[in-house]
Amino acid sequence: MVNERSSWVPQGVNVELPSAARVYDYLLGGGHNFAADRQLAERFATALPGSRDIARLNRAFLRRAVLFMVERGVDQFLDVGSGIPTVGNVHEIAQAANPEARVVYVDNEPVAVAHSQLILDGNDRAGALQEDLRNPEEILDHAVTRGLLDLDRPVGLLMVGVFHFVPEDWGPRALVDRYRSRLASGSYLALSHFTADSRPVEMAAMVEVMSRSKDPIHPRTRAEIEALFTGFELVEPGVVSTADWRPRAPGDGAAGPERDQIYAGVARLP
Amino acid sequence: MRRPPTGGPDGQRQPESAVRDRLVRDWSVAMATSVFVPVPHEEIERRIAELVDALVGVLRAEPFVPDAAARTGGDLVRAGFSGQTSLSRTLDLLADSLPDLAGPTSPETDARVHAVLGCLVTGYVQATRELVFEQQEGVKRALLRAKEQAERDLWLSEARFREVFGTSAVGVAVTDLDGGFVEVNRSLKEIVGYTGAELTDRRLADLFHPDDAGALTEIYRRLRDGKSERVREQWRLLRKDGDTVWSYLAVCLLRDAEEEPAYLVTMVEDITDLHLLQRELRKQALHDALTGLPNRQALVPGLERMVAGSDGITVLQLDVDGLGVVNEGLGHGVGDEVLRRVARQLGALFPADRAALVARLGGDQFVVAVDHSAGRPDVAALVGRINEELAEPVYHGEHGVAASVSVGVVQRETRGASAGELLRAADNTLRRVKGQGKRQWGLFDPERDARDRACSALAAGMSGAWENGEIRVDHQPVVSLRADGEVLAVEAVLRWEHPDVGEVSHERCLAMAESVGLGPPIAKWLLREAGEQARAWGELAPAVGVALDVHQATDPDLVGEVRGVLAEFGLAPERLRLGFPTSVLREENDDAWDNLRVLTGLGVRTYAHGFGLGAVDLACVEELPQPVVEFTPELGARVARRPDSALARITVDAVSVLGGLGVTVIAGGVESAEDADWWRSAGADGAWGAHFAARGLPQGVDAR
Repeated sequence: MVNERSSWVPQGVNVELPSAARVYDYLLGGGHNFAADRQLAERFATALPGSRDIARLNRAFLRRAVLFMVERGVDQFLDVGSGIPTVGNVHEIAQAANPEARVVYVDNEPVAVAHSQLILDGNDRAGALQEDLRNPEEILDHAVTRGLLDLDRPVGLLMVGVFHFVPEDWGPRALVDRYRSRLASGSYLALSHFTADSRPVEMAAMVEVMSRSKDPIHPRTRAEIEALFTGFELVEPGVVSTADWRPRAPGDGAAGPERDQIYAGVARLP
Repeated sequence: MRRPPTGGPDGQRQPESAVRDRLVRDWSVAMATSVFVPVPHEEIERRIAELVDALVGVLRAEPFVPDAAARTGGDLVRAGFSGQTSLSRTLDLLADSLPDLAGPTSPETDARVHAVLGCLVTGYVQATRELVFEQQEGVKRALLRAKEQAERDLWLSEARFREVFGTSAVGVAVTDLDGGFVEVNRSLKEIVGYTGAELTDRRLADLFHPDDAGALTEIYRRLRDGKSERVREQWRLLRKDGDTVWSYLAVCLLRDAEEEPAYLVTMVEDITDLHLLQRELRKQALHDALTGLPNRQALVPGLERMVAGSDGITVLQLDVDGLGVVNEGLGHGVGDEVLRRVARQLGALFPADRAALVARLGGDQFVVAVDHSAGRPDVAALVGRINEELAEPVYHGEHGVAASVSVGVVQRETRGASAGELLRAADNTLRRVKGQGKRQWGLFDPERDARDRACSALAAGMSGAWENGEIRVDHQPVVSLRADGEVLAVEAVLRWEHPDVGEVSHERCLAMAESVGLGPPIAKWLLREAGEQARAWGELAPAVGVALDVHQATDPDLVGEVRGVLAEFGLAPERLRLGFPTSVLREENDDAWDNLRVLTGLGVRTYAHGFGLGAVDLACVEELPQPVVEFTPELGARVARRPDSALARITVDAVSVLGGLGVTVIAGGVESAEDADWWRSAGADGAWGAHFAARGLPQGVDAR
């Protein structure tokens, strides 16, 4: 994709504009956010009851997905749309299980990236870079990526809670394809995604709230989300609610309808 | 908030250890489901167990120091259990379970539990405040860092932009929406020739070329109003010194942070040199390099413009007489000079501003077109003047060269005329005029032109007609005048049954075939058809003849060709009868004579056709290897009908002389029984023509 804007013109930093990453942090109970983010988050939570649990379940899925991959020998991760380095970062989880694990965080939000870089200061096995997920080649060929990841070996590609920011006209399936084409056999993709399948009314209200932010949300059906895994082989139990994806502990689940708002799945590249 | 003591089914207090374990279990689940903590559940339970034990320790300590519970509240937050509902769910569980763990039931115990919970909340809130401060601190550092990075990137990009702006060969002007200059680069100042200070007092519109100013103002207005985003077009600017700058302009609108139009950026590429080069190339493409006159490419559109804008037009197509001779004899340099001289004089006679157009078509041909809306010019006088001017010799070394031209003239009311049609008519007229000699001129003759065109059209269709079988071979008997009715031979001739024109004669077919380059193949075809016919009719039939044309007769390959036909159809040579044109024989054409002698030697029957009455024709008779002549068909009916004419008397004498020489005489073009009688009495041996053709071929020699 050709960017009209030349790459050396910097993106602006504007805390008046809410960022989805900081809204997510707030819903997770984090304090890494600004007034505008908290306002939006409250409206988000009003429109979509159970938002805090939805965020928690999604975050818990990320942890299980990373551990699942580590257990299958994956020791390098590319976290696209990593957001604010809030509790349970991928490098903490992965490096706790395998101290040699390497992680690259990617986000298009400059504050989130700067924050990640601050946190990662002194960790020579993890790095953060600012890029739009629409530019797989720029991400995969970035100096930070090249310095940390060996693309000839399996990589854990994490796209958790990010593809619902991709509208249809960006070609989400083709986009995943462009990542997939650069990954080695044995790589994994973990992906989670908002859906309106179970609570269309509340989801529509939330979409409306987010439509006026700089990160509008595009929920997809289960079939559409499964299609994003084209070319990969989904592992059991396939694309399911986050709470149903290989739960291990009481914190992984929830009883109310909040458990069905995000679908998640992990797949292996044959 | 105190609930009845928890107990087993018997209402008895449970052992303390069971109460503790259940509290640890329930509290852990409450925490894990109130907030995400990225550790295994066993780890959560281990941390919660520590907190429970610490609280129980505080409750039972002597002396009782409730403040120590504040530490536990802080630990809860530091362990990550700081979700929105973490504290309330914690207090619910502790209020239920702690009394059972604090010791014997008593008001003192209840008071202790209350105090401990109060301090726990205090510690929790304090730790939460610290955590939020810390996190806010973190995000602010991140924000600062992001801003620093952005500013550094911005500075770098600004520096790069300055570098590009300053050193670019493209002129750049940033103007406000009223056209006032905000910033210009060095190249722009160089292109328009103003200093920066001079530009401050001017507006962008002051740089527009007057002829383009209207359109450019409109373009900028549309950009300013947001009706278009960018423009890339070629326009003219005006330098300070008044020179025109041909420029390629790229203009775009800059918007401010609120997306409102703020500035216009104009990029100017000076393409004046390119433009001049293009103009030169264009001139070269449309002008004749030798004379500088417009060439054919330029003439046609020019003529079309003239046709469209006038009521009548006179087109003269001129051909310089004898230019080839000048070129060959005196060199091309002299020839070129003659052409330049003609060009100069035509230019002087017909100045471009006087509704006239002079062009060189190439070679030795020129065209002059004059708008005669105001009255037809006297063409004779015009041509006279041209030739008068050119008649004055110009000396090249010692050679005085005068020139003359032949001219074809078309005068037309222009309604419905086209440039191409006018030029074609002028060209046709010129060709006709040139046939009459040098220094001639003539007016376009529409009737003749129509005839020529019809003929041309007919000839142009010949190839297709031949292919379609419209053209076929017919056979005419050559009949003996002595032994009445005996067919001496059969002559193969071309017949074209044209669907529109009707029957086209053998002679016309041949002439037209010649004019479109079909002559040789069609003549060969005729010969071969004759051979094939001879075989079909068999050995007892008369010989089949073909009157060869000039090309065939002189073709060195004729003998080979005839032998090929004989071989192909297994014919005895005497079954073929070939006529040689008397015209080539009397010119003593060696090739024709060789062909004639060799073929006669092979046994082919030969004769001279197209025989006339001239002394030379008679002279060549003695050389004929076979003494047979066929009179030209022009005489056939003519002499017979005017038996007292000189022509008739000479013919009678000639036939008599030929007879005396032992020459067989055949008359051609005999149209009636009377004609035949005249020739018989004149002493001719045989005859052919319409009279005999009408009687048809004898039995056994029917046309296939």
